[in-house]
Amino acid sequence: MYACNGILFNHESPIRGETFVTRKITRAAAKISLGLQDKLWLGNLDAKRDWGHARDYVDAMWRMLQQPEPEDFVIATGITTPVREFCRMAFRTVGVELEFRGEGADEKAVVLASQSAAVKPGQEVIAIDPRYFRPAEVDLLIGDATKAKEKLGWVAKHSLEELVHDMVQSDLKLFQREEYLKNGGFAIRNQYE
Amino acid sequence: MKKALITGITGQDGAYLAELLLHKGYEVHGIKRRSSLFNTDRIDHLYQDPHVDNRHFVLHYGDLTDSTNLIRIVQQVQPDEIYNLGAQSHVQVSFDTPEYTANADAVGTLRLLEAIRLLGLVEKTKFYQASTSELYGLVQGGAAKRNDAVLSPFALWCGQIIRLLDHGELPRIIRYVCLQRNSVQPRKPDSG
Repeated sequence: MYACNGILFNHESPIRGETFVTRKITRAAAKISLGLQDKLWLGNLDAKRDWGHARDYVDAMWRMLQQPEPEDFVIATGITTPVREFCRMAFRTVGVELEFRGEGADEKAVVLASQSAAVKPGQEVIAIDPRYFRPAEVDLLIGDATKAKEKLGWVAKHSLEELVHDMVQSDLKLFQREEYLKNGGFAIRNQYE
Repeated sequence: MKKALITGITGQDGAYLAELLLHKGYEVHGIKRRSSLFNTDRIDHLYQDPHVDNRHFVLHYGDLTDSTNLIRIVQQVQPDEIYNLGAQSHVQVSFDTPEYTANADAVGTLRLLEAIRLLGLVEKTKFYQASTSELYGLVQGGAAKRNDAVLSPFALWCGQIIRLLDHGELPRIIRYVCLQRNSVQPRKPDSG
């Protein structure tokens, strides 16, 4: 039987599930910049992940099934980034510069400068909720996709900067629609999970 | 025209993969679960009305926990390629619903492999399993940067369950898939 495993490291996109940390962050950055949300609660900011763009990764899946023999492949960018840095990039995309203060469960992100009318310098926009700490945290995830490059001719085309930009722009559009509805007198509700 | 069957078509990867395969000229079939709410947001732009002739994009109701359903769909579609992307894929939730997660993710994979075998499609149908880098959660430190799988797809979110089992006797389903594929050898989880 021709069967193979694609061992894909984290891959994200504007249509990533809303409960995954990257999307949770890009949604919150968009909402906070529009004044639709006050604060984002996160778990372990020190967790490092190897984030790629899902569009690149599905191409690798297809390539894996076009080989003469089935083999397993690791698909990854090879670059690892802390959750904290992802937050910084996402908020920067909406014109908000963050400074992280404190440590562990007391760490907070405070606004240093803001181009958004809804966000004021000094405002606390990220805090830690220990309930989001994982029972079995993987502190570091980084993949080596050398084999995929050599045998499949696959490389990640999107950078993390492009990914964050795509995700935040898409979430801004989404929540601008909500803002429009809210201003038009319609009730909008937060989704909690 | 090649035919592909995608489980997890309503998810992020399912949506992007469906787009890619349609672009490559495939006939794409997807399996989605019944839900009381619409769950096709990510693929609504690909949807084709059942009244259209020569549809290239077809959705089937199904569930990775339902063997007969999967066998029927695989039999009907006769796919050249199956992409098993369907899963309870949220790590945190896997700790809350471990039995369901194992059933959909681990046994679900087994069901599809069995469907291919029972329907005599072993020579025709290629199978892609969406594995996960989380399986390296069982490895420590630098070992995470490796090229080959250390466990079968069943290591996924079942790691916690596997740890509860006798390490000398991995469950039958895990050995089953390992035997299907020579390149992946079962690896005993670290004790503790």
